[in-house]
Amino acid sequence: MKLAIPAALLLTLLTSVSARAETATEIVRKADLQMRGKSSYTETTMQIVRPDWTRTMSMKAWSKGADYSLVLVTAPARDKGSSSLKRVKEMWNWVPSIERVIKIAPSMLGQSWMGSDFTNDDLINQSSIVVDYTHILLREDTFDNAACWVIEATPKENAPVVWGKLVLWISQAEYHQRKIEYFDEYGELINTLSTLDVKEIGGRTLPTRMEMQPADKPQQKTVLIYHRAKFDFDLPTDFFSQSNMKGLRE
Amino acid sequence: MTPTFMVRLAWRNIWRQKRRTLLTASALAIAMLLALFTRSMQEGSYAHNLDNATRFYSGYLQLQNPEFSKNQSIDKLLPADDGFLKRVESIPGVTEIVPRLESFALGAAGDKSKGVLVMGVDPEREDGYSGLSHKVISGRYFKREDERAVLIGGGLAAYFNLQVGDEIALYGQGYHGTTAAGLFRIAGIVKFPHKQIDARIVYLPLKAAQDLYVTGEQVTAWVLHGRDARSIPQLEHDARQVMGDTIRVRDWADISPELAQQIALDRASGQFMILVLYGVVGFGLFATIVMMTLERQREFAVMLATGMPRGKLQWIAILETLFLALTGVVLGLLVTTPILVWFFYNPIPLSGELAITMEEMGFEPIIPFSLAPELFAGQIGIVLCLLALCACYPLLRIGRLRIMQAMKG
Repeated sequence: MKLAIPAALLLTLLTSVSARAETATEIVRKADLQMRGKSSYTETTMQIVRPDWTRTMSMKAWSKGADYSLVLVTAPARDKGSSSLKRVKEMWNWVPSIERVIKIAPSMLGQSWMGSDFTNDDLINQSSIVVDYTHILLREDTFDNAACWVIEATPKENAPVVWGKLVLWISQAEYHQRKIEYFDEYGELINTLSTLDVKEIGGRTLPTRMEMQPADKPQQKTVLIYHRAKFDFDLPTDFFSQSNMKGLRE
Repeated sequence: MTPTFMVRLAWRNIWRQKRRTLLTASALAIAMLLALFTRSMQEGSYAHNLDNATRFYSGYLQLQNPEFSKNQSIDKLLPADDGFLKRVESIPGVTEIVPRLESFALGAAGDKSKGVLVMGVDPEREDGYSGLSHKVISGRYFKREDERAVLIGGGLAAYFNLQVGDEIALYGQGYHGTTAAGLFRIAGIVKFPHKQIDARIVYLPLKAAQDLYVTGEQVTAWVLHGRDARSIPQLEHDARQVMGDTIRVRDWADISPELAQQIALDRASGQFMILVLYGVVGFGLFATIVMMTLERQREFAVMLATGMPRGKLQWIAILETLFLALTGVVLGLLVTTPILVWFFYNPIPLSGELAITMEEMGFEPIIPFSLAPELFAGQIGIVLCLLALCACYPLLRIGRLRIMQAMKG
């Protein structure tokens, strides 16, 4: 009887602590959902910055869950009508000027998308961050004045991923991915993604400016700016079709 | 004993054995004839081949963006406007100038694709320079105004199973990160002399290539040609002077090192054979000198005993060797020069299979000869070296001559 109360207290304490603390995986999943929603539509501008020149592109993108996405380039005129489609595990590029669909093989996922510092994997295949990795909470940190969890994501065996390791800074208050460090299979830092300018957009509060910085070329980066967004609206799966990929111009 | 006296004495001494001297001199002369003939033919061929072979790709010289050669990046270009062209034209000694835009792309037709070499050329200038229109084996040559017409190599056409009039897609990386993508129609199929390039080459009119890669009025290289192969070093120097530090001038050996190596190897093997030849003849010369020295031991002893300074005697021996060699050289030149001059103006024509192959590659099927003074000077130099070596023998013999012993036997 004497032991029972402290024991019961300890037990409650323990269970409540474990019940309250989220696993790293859950944090990552929440952040992922926050970014994408069940379905999304965004209008963005991409600025490719290099020491000698800067190039700007405008895009529209649709996504449904983690399995379907379509990115359409709307400017400049040369690239207008180019698009990238993902259906579950397959991805394609459509290049109107040569009237050809190019299938993106998994080996091409690490290649640059349209000459930017974002890879095909980043832009078209983003969702695997939850499913294909295991997550460990490393520590807490701040980024851009926001308190963040720092989580290390390691690919699961046989997962079709490009990276050897990811380190994610996820803001505690709003579950935004604020910073991601991308490492290759040898543990070398390859890219760093920073997200800034948290604003209200499409009914959500999200960072609207993403900067991808290659580690070995400090003078170059790519900036992705969100202008408009819509979330969680009715978007049928057959919108994500090859004929739509070819047919959409704007 | 005056120098004149010594000279006359030396000269008369070698003619004391007329036949022997003539034989030795003739051997030397024939060696010179063979050596000069071979080397003249070699150097003539190299210059001729160089002139022809370089037109397809490297030219004698190329002007490039200094950073282009690092990884052939389409971002590192040169201007192609009239102002720049005028500067290039002002280089002294330049005989021909053609612009080229060279890059890579993925070529696709049907469901096949292959990495291709894209060459943007000015149709008229290029034809004048490398005779590209004569290489067309099917279809027609293209014109400056053609926006979509291309010429592809026979090997490439075979791989894709393409005919004149079919389409080919080109897809790659353009200037400043743009995507280079375009569909083109095959106007003609060319036969390019090198098989590997024949299987990968696509020629575009320059403007079409500039549009494909979104370069604007720029090129990857200006290709320059000069009068002949020997004028290249001077041309390179002048080009650097005129164009300044911001433009890189590369010669053909830098751009096509395998061609330079081929020539160097061939030249070296020729030179080696000739050295062997001279070695053999040199021994003949040496044998004669040895005989001349040994048979006159007593004569030398008497001269020394009667008061001739040893040094003067050695000088006479050296002069004898010199005159022997000179006779051979003069004889050799007298015989060789007319022959070479005749062949210079009447190169050996080739016939048969070799001729056809050469003509297909755009070469004139001849073996030309070179009359470069360096060739002659080189041969004479070798003979002088032989001479110097041989002269050591009598020098030493006389130097060590013991008068009493020599007189006795």
